[in-house]
Amino acid sequence: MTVLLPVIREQLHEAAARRARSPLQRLPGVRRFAGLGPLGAPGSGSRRGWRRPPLIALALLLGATGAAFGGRVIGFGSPAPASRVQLFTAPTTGEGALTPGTVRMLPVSTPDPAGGAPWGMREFTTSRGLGCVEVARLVDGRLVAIGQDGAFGDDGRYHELGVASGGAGFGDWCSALDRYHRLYLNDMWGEQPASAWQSRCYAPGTPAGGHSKGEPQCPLQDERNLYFGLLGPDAKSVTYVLDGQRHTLATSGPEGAYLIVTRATAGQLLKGVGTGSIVPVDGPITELHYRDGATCNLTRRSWIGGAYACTPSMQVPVGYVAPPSLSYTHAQAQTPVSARLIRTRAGYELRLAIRSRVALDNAESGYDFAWYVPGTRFENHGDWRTESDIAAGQTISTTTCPLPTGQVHGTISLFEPDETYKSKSEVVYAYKYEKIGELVGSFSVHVPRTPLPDDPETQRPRSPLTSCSAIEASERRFRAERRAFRRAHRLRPAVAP
Amino acid sequence: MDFDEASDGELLAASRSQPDAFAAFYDRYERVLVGYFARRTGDAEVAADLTAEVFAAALAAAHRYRPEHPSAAGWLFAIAHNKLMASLRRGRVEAQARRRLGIREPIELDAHELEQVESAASADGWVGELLERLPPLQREAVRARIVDERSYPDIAGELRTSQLVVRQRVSRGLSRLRAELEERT
Repeated sequence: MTVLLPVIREQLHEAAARRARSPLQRLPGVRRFAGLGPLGAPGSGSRRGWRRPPLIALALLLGATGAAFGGRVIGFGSPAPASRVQLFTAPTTGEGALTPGTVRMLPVSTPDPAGGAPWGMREFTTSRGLGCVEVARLVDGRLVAIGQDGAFGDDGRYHELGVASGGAGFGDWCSALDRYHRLYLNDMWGEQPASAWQSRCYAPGTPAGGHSKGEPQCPLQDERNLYFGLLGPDAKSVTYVLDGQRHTLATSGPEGAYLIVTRATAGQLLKGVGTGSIVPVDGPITELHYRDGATCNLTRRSWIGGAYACTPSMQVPVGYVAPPSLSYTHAQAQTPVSARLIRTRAGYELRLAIRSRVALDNAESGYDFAWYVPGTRFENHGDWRTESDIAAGQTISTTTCPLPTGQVHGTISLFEPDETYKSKSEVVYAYKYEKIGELVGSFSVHVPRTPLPDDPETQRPRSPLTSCSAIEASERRFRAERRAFRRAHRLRPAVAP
Repeated sequence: MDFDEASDGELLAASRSQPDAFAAFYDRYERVLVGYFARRTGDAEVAADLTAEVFAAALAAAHRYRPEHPSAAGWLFAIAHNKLMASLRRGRVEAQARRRLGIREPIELDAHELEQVESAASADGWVGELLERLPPLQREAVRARIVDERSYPDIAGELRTSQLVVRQRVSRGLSRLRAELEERT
């Protein structure tokens, strides 16, 4: 394989040779014990390793002895900063804006394996019908991150997490609310820092490396796996197995909330990702118990949902009721489709448009435009989805990139949240055939032959499977985000080492 | 020692006395690491700088690597993630590890190398090789979720399917990858 950056390889090879020639290098244990730095380092006589302010050491000591001194000992620092990405601020697009007055703590408090502040959860809703969950450390009824493991300058203080800070987690932790504004959601986050802030520790079970002199280094045991969820008011408890021991944990409150926190283990590669939703999967939970006496035994096929989610077969989530606005029928949604060819220098583009008969204001519902391009080599369908609120009577449109000559046909569907299907017994069949919603309309257009473009700039055609209008909008957004990112971080190459 | 056959752990252990062993380790992970940084920073020079710093840190810490973990991918990427975060916090790519190793020459890339780094942003190295063993639908879902770190709704939108189906593909794909990795180690 060709080396991409030979100059770096050569520099490292020479550095490795220098280290190999050094007699001390062959006695790393002695150097470490003596507190000596690596060879060639300025000030190599200084002590290396994990150094934290005294407050952190005290906090860890208290944690290790099981003392729950919480905020009285450590105290609060400044609140965590808002996320660089604007979260929950756009009321009609994406996930929507935070609905004022909906943030509430859930009655959950789970001890951390190393002691100290426990872990808690809170829930809030958004203007686009989502319910969201955040998980972090819990102090004085507030969700906080701890200044350790490189977070907040290792000040050892608690830093309150606002919704806009992005909390401790990453990825999707929102789901559509049901008819009674209840949230059903299960997920896991693997290898999260015990600080509950976004700075990660080194993977557990591996030696530390890559940290600057004086920069804190996380203890190996400072990563956590978080398994959490809301199972609804019908849930009573969950059973899970850890280290061969079986435990039963009562769910809390009308939300049916649960939270399990464990230490991350070595060799977790690719296991730090949750794939659950309908029911918890990929974690230690083996059974869900409901108030009517029913038990859902989870299986290897639970992620499928429907009849496969539990043994014996039962419909999950128990108690979920789809909102009427998310259960439109074909008769309610169908509408004429306008499909118009537009001649451009690069060929014919297709403008597709419909007038929506229904209002769609849920983050997990919208229209899906699909067009099929026969003869395309690998895939053969293009696609575009709406991402914002749609009013009844509003015209929705998109324009494809230039299409090849021949017949192009397609469909427009109304898609809905997974939960809508969860309330129907057809879930398995729906997904088996990848049904994505109700059919709204279809179209079929013949694209005529076009002469080759004479402008060389147009001889790099975009894929006919993409929406050119969406690409242009996305490129505008991307450029703006990159500008903002660079302004915020001003990341430059290193000065000469 | 046959460097091609050696595990990562063996290469790192051998690099204490054999510089060629570390060069072999570098060759094994260079492309994927360059791609990792190029995708995240969008800047070829910064990506090259970060790559150099991560390998320097790995060399400095090689003697502490536990050989019972034959694959060093997780360890190396933990360093990479840390370096990236630390550099973002400071607004400048770190050079501490290189200074410790006595590497003081700045990295200057020619046009060809810049182009190579940019092209690596779309390649996945060994991750790609591993992903190639998955069926296309699972590969696409695992790449989007794990490599590109995108959300389920986002992926479902692009793949024209439900989040549940994406989760299913990711779950199945990860199971296969784990089995592959366990076989390898």
